[in-house]
Amino acid sequence: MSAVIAVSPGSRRYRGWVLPIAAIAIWWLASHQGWSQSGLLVSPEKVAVTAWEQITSDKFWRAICASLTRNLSGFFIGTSLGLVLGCLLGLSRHFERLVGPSFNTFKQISLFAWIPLISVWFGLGDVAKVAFLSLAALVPVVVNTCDGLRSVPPNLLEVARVYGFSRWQTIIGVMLPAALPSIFTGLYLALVYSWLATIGAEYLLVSGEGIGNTLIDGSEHFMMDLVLFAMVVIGLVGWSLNALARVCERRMQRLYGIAPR
Amino acid sequence: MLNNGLTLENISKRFASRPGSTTQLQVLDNIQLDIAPGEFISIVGASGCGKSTLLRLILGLDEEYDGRILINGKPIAGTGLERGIVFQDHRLFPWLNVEQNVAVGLKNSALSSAEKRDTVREHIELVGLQDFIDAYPHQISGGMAQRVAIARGLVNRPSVLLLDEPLGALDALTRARLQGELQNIWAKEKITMILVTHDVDEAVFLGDRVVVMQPNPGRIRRILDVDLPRPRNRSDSRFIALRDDVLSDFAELH
Repeated sequence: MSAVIAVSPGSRRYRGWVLPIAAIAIWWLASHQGWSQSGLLVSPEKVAVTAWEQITSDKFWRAICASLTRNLSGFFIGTSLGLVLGCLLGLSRHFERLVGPSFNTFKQISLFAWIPLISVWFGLGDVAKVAFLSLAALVPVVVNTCDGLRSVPPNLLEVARVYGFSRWQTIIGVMLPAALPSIFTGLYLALVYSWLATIGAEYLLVSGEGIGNTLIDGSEHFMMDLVLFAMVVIGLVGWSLNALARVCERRMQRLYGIAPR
Repeated sequence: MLNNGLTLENISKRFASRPGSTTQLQVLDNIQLDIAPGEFISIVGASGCGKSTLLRLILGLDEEYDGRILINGKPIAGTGLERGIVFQDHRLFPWLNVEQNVAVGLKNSALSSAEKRDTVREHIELVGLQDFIDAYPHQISGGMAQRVAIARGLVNRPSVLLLDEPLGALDALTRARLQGELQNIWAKEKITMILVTHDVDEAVFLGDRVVVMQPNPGRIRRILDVDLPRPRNRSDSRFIALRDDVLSDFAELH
């Protein structure tokens, strides 16, 4: 008999599951064989039971809704401001000379370094969190919008000149569409960053509800099952937002004839 | 001197050899050329002879030069819809389909939207792309993209169409076919065409006159009349003689 196992495309697709399943199996063994007496090692079943309790509770859904609302509010405020600022920086040399250096310095400040200032200005509530999230979403949008508008191919701008486009027609008809892939990269990053920042904000500006607070609850009460469940949820939400952004990005790339990454 | 058509009067152009440097590079030196309305002019020359620069000046993309460029007796100022262009790279907007790309040419025309639509359709048919009206640039071949660019260049019904090595990037077969099509379009539209090329065969095949340029500084070496009936036959002995005559200029230069 041949020792070579033919790998079908189907089985190849499931290869990515091997590691997580093995990890869960070892985890299950560890908790059932009593390899550790620590109360912090909870069994997979315990996590599953907690997960079920959470999913069927109102509290959990309120937390998720609070986090998502916060995330999307921050995302929309940050990207809106980011688009305006990015367009101004990318389109006006004058504005760029005036504001560009300050912005470039500003973006070097680590996001989390803003937390003390934000908590002093806005407290620990939703306003502070959304302000922090907006900041997280703002920077990548500004940078990519501005870069996209600056790197419009000069060849295409010449076409606009040949056909007598006004400044406004050039911006709307050539520069913005040419910059769109780059602008989209900014929005995509903003979506990813703002979810990361949502958890960060909930963790560091502790008050109110949110999936980050569920995480803190679990850790404060040594409920590792709750911590693990919250981590899985955070990962799944992040994954979903990422997947959503990728679908939009692919559609746009197809329209532009760019091969998907 | 002709008072309609296109006149180039003592055109000279210098570039700073390096940005900020005072030493200047003479790119064009005293170019004189009268082009009759409806004439097909081919400009050939080795790279660096300033032929594409000359086209940019006529197009109005570059306004820093000495001398005068007159269309119908009036000096040009900047770009204008009476001068169309087909670049070597098609320069279509990737986010617009074929129809919308051709319509870019009419963005600032005075036509009504119904007239624009008809004119666009008409020109797409002229270049034979009526089945690809909804296709995006990345979905069509290089030759087809160049036809779209030709349609876009013609859609304003310019009095002069400038062609900057429009077929230079295409394969030999597509190129020969498009040369034939270009000649038919020229005969049909009866407009002035100025073709810049480094392909002597193409220059003789299409031109009423062939302007041979030479570099350092860029200037006209001589102008040949191509007195052959159209469509021209590349294996005709007179065609071959003319082509070899032009080629001999290049042999001397190298």
